[in-house]
Amino acid sequence: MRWRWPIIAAWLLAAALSLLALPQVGSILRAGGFSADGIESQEAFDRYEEDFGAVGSPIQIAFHHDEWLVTDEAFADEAARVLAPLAALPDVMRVSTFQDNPTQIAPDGHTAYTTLFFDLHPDVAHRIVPELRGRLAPSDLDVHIAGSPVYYSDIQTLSEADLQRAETVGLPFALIVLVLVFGSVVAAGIPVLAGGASVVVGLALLWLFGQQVGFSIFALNVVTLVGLGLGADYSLILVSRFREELAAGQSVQDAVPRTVATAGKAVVFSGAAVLTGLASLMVFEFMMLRSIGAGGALVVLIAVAAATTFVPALLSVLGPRVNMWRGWRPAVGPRNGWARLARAVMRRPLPIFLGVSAFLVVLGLPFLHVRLNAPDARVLTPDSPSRVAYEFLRDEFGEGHQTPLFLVARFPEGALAPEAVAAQHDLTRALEADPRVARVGGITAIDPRITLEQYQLLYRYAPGIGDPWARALAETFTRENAAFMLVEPSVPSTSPEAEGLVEAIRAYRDANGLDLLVGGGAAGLKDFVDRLYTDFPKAVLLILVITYVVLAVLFRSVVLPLKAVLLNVLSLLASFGALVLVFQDGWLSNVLRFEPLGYIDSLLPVVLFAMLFGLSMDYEVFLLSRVKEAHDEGRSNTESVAIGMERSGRVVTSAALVVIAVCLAFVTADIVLIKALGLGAAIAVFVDAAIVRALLVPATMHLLGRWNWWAPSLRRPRLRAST
Amino acid sequence: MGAVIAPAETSGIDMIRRATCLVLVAVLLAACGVVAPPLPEPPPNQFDASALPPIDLPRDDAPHANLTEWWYVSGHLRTAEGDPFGFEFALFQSVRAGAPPGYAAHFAVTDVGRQRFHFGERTEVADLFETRPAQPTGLDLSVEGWTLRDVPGGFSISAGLDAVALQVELIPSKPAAIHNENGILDFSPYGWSYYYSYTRAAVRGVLLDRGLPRPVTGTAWIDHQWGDFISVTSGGWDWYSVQLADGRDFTASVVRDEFGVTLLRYGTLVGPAGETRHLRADELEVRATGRWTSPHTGVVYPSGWTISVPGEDLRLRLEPLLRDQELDTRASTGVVYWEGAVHVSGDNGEAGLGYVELTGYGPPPSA
Repeated sequence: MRWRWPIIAAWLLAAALSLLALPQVGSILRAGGFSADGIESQEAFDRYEEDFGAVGSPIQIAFHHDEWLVTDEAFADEAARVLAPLAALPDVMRVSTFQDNPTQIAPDGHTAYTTLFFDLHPDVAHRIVPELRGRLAPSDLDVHIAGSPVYYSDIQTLSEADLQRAETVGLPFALIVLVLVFGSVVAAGIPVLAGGASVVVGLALLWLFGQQVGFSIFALNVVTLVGLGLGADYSLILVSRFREELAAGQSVQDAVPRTVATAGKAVVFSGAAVLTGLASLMVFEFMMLRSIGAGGALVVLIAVAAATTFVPALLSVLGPRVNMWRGWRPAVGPRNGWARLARAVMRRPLPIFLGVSAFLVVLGLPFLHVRLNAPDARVLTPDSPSRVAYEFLRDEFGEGHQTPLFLVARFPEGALAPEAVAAQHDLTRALEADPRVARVGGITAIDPRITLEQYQLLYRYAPGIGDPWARALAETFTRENAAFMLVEPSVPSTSPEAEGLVEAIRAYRDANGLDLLVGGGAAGLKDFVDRLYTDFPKAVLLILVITYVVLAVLFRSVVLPLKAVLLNVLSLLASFGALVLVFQDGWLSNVLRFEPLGYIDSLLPVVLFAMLFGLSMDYEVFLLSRVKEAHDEGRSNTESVAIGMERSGRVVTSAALVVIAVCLAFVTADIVLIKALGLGAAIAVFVDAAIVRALLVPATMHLLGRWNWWAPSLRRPRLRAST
Repeated sequence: MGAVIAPAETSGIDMIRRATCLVLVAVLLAACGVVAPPLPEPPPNQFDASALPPIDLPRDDAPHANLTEWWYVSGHLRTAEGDPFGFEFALFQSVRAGAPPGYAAHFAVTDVGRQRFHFGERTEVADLFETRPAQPTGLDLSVEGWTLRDVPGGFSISAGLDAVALQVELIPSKPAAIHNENGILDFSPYGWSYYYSYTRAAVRGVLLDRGLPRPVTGTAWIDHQWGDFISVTSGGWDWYSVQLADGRDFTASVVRDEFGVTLLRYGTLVGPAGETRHLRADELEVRATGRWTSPHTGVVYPSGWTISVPGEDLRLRLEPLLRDQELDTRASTGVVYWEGAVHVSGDNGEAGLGYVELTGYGPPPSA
């Protein structure tokens, strides 16, 4: 109370300063972040750079003309004119023109591309794209710019636009819900103000820490979603409790400390649960997930801090004026409808428990046929320049041309020694015979009619290789003891067939004792997903254990936290099932404006689980806190549940509505991952608040009876925390 | 998705981890379990001579889609003033899967009177989008302006260097001689080829000698060889062609591996009317009678030969009309070789002219 003005000033100052930093946030964001030590595809890339030199970051400049052939002088002249200012960029380390490399000319003869290799780390190469696009001169040719840096540049552009749209939609939505809940513009404005401040300060801190460590492009949206949702949610709980205290006749001086001691404490525990979930992402080695985890945890801390300092300070200043500008007068305090519902549920607990559980399991069933893979260009909107370029090149050159596998081998006796040539020849022939392969590049891929013995003769006198084809391929694909091969799949890199191809090549490698690493394209995607789901159980274990401990401390019970955790898993699985139906199978894809991928972005279950476990647990925590409070007052188990429902029903519903409103705002995103995060979070919160909290919790509480409160060796002091 | 779960470990931590995440893991496992098919066994890639169709002329005068193909024309000319010249024109075609055909051409003129040797080379890659029939019906090849075409009854060549150029027609006076009886040579492991020759063709045309057009006539030998074989820097061959004044023609080839071991030795004797007799290795003796060291490359070549066909009571001596007839064509076909005009004389009074080609003596391209 004494420090209310300095606290308000500090928050406003922090928010104002943070606003200055906001335009710079994009500059610290990094693309990619999908590599990690010990992943074979990463080792393949590292070995390639070690043996063949730095690759840099390639960007393709594609040219097309409906009438001119690539070999026409007019085509070549125009392409050279367009290319000149691009190739003059200072970071360009190498240029591979289509005249140098005929594989960069499409079969129809009207399309070709030149590759610019930039001396930039792949994580930051996307920053060159705006300048590259700025230097593109108008041309008689159709010109497209393609490649990973362009893809990530578009991701960043769309991500920032998504964010702006989500904020534009989400904040008013949340405000409307809050006005409806509180009936007062002032009361409703406090959570919006706190949520906004949490996001702004969170993003500014992201920028600050981003000077030292890398943050993924995706961290931006997650920080905003969590900051806005939680900031508003937690503030709502405090404002609601404060108004209850005032309505109960407490003075402002008494109401504020009591609000902080009760609702504030619940918010701290809730924040701890959410923070645990997000921080669990730190167990992953991928920068992308670690940064989302770190950014998310950071913004949770800020949201909790805002709810427990900024909001009480505002409340103490406002006092009864928190109810100013009332449009209507919703009742403050509990209502008996929730108690009636709880009692009705507890009259038939077993059928309801079984029925609702079965319903949630059925909702989760689609997750049984989940296909997980990494995203491709289709996560962008159809008119995104990089997606247009990607699809254009795919149509012109074939599926695997832009995302080939690369096989990096070492041969102690030399890459052109007869044994090494034999190993490469046999693998090449096997690959060429595989229907999943469109084209193989390597020293033994000159022509299938050339026999192994002939290849061995061709390369026997290296470097004095007479055959010009063989000489050129040896210069490209070998260095002393190292060789590499390029494999263009005939199937999409995200398909099960491409994944099977990677497995088949590695099995062939193992069976033949080759020192060979498989990377690129489908191998990178597969390795990422495999590592992700090798580490996922660790994260899940961490979340479950810490959440259990946090709840055990809060409830002083062994059974209640276990029940809460299990029911939460059930609501998350239901959410996952819905996501499979929507984003994998394409249900509602027209309504939600996206193209179903046929699989779920492998990041989605991981990020959602980490983000939602704590978030969706909130409502059960708020309910159980009230139940516990009633039980500690000496009520029976059944009565405690009914009273808990009665006391928490309104605020929990309101808080859930606010979070759902914010999450649904992110469904307007153009990036499918962000859209899915928003929808998944909204579904999980809805299931938790509407189904688990209202039906399953009362039913299980009744069924468990005295076991709810069993804690053999723990002293059970009176719980003061309540909502 | 068969590998979403980490390889089995034996620690208790792993057991706990798996047990704890039972639901998720079970769900993920249910979504997996599809074993990827292995890489297939590639089809065999072995040469089977019995599967090859016989040579069909004149259709087979035209280019084919095999790995390697060449047309070699060599001959002797005389101007109206009686000045003797030798010439060689070779055109090579390489076809590799998924790439446009590559061409190289060598052209050499031996000015016997002035004891000068001129040679040059050119290369060209076919237009990527040139529409070529799978089996062209005629011969019409050009390498940067040097041409080899079919004309009624024969062929024409046109090629030029700074000091000398040649534009002539070649009209075979004998039917094609099919070598090795069926026209197919198996020189594994290098590959196999078809091979036939027009051993005697009347030449008529113009020689541009230092800018001066000089009508020429003479006799040429036309070789055509194609198949799925490779030309490497190791090993090589000695090839001899002889046109005798009595109307007989004769050719012999000795193919060596990288260690100098003879892989193949054969010959063909062609009678005045074009009748052929295949000569097996044991019916043929070839012996070098001298050596010549190239002042340009340091390569040592045999120079001067005796070739005997005891069964035909034929013993010929071949002597170069000019020692230095070496072609350094490392910029086009990657080899240094000797191909030159020779004078032929026999123990039984035979006389004639010939051409000899020696490959595999030269340094590798890197040297």
